[in-house]
Amino acid sequence: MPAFFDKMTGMDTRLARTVPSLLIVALAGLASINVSGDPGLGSREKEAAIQVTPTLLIDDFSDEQAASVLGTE
Amino acid sequence: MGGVSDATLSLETIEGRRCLRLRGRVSLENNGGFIQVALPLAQDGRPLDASEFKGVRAWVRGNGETYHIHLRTAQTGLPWQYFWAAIDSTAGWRPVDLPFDGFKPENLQAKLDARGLERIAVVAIGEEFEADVAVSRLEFYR
Repeated sequence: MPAFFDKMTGMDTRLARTVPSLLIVALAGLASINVSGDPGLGSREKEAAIQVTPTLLIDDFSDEQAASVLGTE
Repeated sequence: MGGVSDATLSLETIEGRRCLRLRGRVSLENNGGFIQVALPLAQDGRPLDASEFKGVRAWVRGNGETYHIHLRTAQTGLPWQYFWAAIDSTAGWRPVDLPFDGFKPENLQAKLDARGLERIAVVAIGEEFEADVAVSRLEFYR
């Protein structure tokens, strides 16, 4: 019984050590993702936005009333 | 002042494209000599900063004559000052790219500064002719 208890205690101890270690590794991984992702993400989004919108529309005359002014001389 | 050119302006759909069409007769009589349609670029009284773009792209069709795109900027204080570039019109729609550094100054000595755009115009100018030009899309391109 004591031997079994010791074995169980030992297992509990190992488990108790392993779980926090895994959590630390996981959190460290998340932290490293965030740390490496934050500064670059903004630039990538900007670059993507520039590529998606390569032009700036002045007018496509789809409205019935254009803000145009006729002039003659 | 006092020129006798005449023009009409209409919003139409030509070959499936909504467009602004300028038609008329350019006359040099009485010191005249142009017809134009102008569009404001300034927003809330502030000039438009288009310096991130390379130039103006216009989808154009017309009667084969040459037309001008005029840009007025914060640099062009007087009515006879502007920057211009020429476009040749064809019977079918086509995009024409006009880089900012290709615009020529008129009645001023300066290089176009695209940080202060105030107005853009499609103009028939310089000689007597029947004008018929349509623009279906105006945009700045990178």
